[in-house]
Amino acid sequence: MKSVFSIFWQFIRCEQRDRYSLFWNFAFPLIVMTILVLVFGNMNTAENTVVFQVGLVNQETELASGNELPVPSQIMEDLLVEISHGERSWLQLHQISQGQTIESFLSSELHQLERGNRHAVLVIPDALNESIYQEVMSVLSPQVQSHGGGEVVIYSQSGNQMSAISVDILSQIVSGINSQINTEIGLIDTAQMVDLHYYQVETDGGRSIPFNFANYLMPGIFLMVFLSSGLELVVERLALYRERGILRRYFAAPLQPAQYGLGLLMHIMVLSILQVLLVYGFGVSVFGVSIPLFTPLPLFYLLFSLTTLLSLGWLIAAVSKTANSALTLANALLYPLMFLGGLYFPVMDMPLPIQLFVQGNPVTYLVNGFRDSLGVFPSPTPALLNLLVPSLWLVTALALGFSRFKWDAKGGN
Amino acid sequence: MSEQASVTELHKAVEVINLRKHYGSVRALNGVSFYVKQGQVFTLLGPNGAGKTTTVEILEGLKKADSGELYFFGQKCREIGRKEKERIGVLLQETNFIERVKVKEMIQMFASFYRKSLPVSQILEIVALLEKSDALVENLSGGQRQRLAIGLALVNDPEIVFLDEPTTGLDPQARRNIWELIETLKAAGKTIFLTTHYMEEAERLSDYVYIMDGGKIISAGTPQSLVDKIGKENVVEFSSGHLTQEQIKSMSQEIKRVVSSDDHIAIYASDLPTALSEILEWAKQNGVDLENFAIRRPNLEDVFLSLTGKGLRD
Amino acid sequence: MAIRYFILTKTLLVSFLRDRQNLFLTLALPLVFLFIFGSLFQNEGQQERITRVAVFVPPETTSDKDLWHVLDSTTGLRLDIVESEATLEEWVSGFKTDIGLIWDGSALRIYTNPTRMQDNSYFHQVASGIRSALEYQRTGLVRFIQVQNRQVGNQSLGGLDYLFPGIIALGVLSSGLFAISSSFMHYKDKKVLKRLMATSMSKVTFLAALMTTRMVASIMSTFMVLAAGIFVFRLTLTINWVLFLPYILVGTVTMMGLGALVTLIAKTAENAIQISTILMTIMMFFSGIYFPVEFLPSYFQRVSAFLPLSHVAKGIRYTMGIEAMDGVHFFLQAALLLVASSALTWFVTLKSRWND
Repeated sequence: MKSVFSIFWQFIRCEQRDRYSLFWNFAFPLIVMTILVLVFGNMNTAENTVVFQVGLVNQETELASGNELPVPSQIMEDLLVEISHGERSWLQLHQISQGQTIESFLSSELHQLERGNRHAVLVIPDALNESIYQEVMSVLSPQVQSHGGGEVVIYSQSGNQMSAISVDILSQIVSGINSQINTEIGLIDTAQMVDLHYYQVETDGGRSIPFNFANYLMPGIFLMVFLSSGLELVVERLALYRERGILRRYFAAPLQPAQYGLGLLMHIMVLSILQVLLVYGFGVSVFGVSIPLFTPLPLFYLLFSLTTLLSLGWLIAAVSKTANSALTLANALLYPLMFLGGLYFPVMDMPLPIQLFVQGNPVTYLVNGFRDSLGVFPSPTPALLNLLVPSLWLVTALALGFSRFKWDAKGGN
Repeated sequence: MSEQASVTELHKAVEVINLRKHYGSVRALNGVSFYVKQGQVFTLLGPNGAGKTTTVEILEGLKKADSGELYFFGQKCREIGRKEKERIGVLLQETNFIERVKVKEMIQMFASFYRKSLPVSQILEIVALLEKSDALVENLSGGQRQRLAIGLALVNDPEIVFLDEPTTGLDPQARRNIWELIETLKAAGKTIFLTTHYMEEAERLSDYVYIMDGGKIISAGTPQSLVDKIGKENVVEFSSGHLTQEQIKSMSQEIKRVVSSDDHIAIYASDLPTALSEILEWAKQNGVDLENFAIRRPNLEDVFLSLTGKGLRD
Repeated sequence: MAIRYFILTKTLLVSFLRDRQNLFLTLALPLVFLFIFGSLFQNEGQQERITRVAVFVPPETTSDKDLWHVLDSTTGLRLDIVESEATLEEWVSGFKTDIGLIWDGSALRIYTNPTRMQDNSYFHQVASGIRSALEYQRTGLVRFIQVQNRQVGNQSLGGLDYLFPGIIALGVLSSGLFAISSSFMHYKDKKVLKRLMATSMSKVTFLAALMTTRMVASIMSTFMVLAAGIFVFRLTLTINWVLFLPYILVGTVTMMGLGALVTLIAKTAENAIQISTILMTIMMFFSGIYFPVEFLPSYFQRVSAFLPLSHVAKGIRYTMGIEAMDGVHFFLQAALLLVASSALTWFVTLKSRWND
């Protein structure tokens, strides 16, 4: 045991003296978490937090109606201006400035749209009001011919999601004005209007806490950290040290491979515990994370995930002949395992080959089971598979690892 | 080997009989037999590829022989295992250290691998690294690193110390430091098993030399006895140029033996002054320019050359 | 001198191509990302996207004829009928459907899965479209004002707009950044440079050869990504080759400049590589690979403006016809990046002591 502890302490010392290692192990998970929470955490309420840049080009010249009907173009403009002046408004409106012509303003707004500085450009065409009145008249007095009403043009940027959202919001505003006109002239029964309510499915096992992306993400961050340890740390300490003859020198002493392995394992366990505590503490204090991490089932998943992912590193070190190929293989697998395992966001609707990878990936099941155990999100995969698939990987990796791993790069015992 | 005949089993630290080892179709060891007497410095001498490292690795417990017998302090064993490793110390041919470790920490760690070990300060003193005790290993010079590696080989106060190419790549001063260290260890009664392809190292340090080539021991003896075997003649050396064997033999009557390798000739002559003047006269008469002309005493390199026709450094 | 340069370039290139790790980072990694994120994001902005809708109409609802009429006539929907609210919620949370829709006669209740962050705003649009159509159907509402949506910009890439150039930029980043911070420093540490200086090879020739090697690597990486995009993702690209290819080279030099900056701080090759790796990983977050840049909060978008990678990615988008940019602005940007990075690279490498 003395040797085991001595290996363990040596790794700890090496680790704490390496600035970059400290960064990757401790600072980087926090950075990733922060960026992802800030980005994705806002997405569900993007409509509430993003400020949409909209250009308003009002080409309408006839601003007074001859009768008591409201002027639609004016209503539209006034409404948009009012929204944009609201406190913490989602809308920033760009209107024509003094001395500019309508044509040049439209042209410059479209140009801005192309450059990405506007989400949408709403154009109220000339004679809109006239067209609307015509249509109103045609409805009220069948003798008047219908010309289809007025049309507002909204320019948006192709393929840009925020732009598409802004079009949707502006369309709803126009639609609201349309409904208002309908109501004013008594055409519709407001009781027949359709209410629309949005809900998110309950994800919290009945605790009635609204979905919190930080809660959802946290198990993913834990597994990311374990995956790095497994794929990079284990591979380096086995394959690289083997190639450099460091392991060879150890085993010229009475140190046994199992003792080295145990020392390494202890080191990674301590490191992982520190990382988990740090990430958890950070999540709780900064993002208000609230998960029952220190209860039996989640703790089981924590341990289960760690051992499974470490065993993958063991497998890689065992099947690779050189350190270079081991590290390359580890790097090649790291990103697909992470991203195609649903650590950060759900992975769906993939083309078949990728779907197969997702379904074979032990990370997928580990993170699903972990999230379910925390009550953060019900597992899309059956509970049995969440245990079975990673276990299969664990057993296979260990078996293959033990049978194939050579402790001496030069083909010794 | 007659002076060795009276050595009893008790005095043998290690003995191997008919060791064989092959790697695929290559026969690295082709029936190696020798023993190492306790308290002496033994050297295994031979060029690269002779089988020295394979032999040593088997004795260090890093490899297993395909066949043959192995005795460790009189006990027969199938291989060098944990129990045996407690009693040996090893300096490998290439030593790489993990980074960001201090010198004393490295020694402490290795000490923990053994049941008994010497205090770290004592090791540091033996290898003259006391003032570097807190230095990171990657900041040591080449000679210092090698001394540390030797220190690690001594951490368990071993009875046998295996030193595989201890001074390769070191500058002359560092080399001399290591030699002094080895002499100190010998004075302390340790059995030292040295492998080297430096002839002067073998000559200076060894009590007994085994010469190896092509996977076999081809000669053995004390350095002096080996040299004596090839005769007490002095050696005249020069580059061979385009000279033929007949031309060389015709240079002088005193020539006892000629050993030629790829680019140089070594002439063994009994009466040096006569041989010298005759050779020089011949050269003058035949208009031949004898390049790299030198006179010296015979050494182990000559022994090896005469046994194999190859240089130790080939 | 030209011959020396060519032979040296060839030797360095061959050495580079035989290093598995380098090869992976520059050529394979961008492809790995393309496949992962291309698959993840390929749905975005697609015109003919199919949305799965699970519908539950409680038995007490009397009027659902209009609903079915609207649902049947709306394109891009795949409908499933479920028997209870609980089943509907289960389907949504289990990813068996995209939207859960419940109609109780006067209100539409829309259920979405909160983890599907990239998709939910699209689903909301779909839902509000259904609501409008339903209202129109039920009330006989007259559309006095209609909305016409006209899209500007390149219509062909859809959701991969930012991803594709981002991935090309990644390949450029890998080959450029590690040229100086890794290879050059490595040669210096291993005294390869010192050995070269003992010959009549000039520093300039060596550096030019090293830079050329990296540019070749960038071009190779770019073509592999383009090929994968065309053959696997069936993208149709409108690339301005006259600007695109030279710009790839500009991007590579820019990244070399960054690598040169790193070596000013790092003492050894190992440190330089580690710092470069950190920089690369963090910059990847801002280059539109992990998620579209527009999702970044505004303060991050400002940070993004300082990163050379963002500018290179933007320039690549311009030359690929994805994003509009002022022509003059583009050339100025390219020239500035090229000049500043070249100067920095040459200054740092030529001024450093190769004989150490």
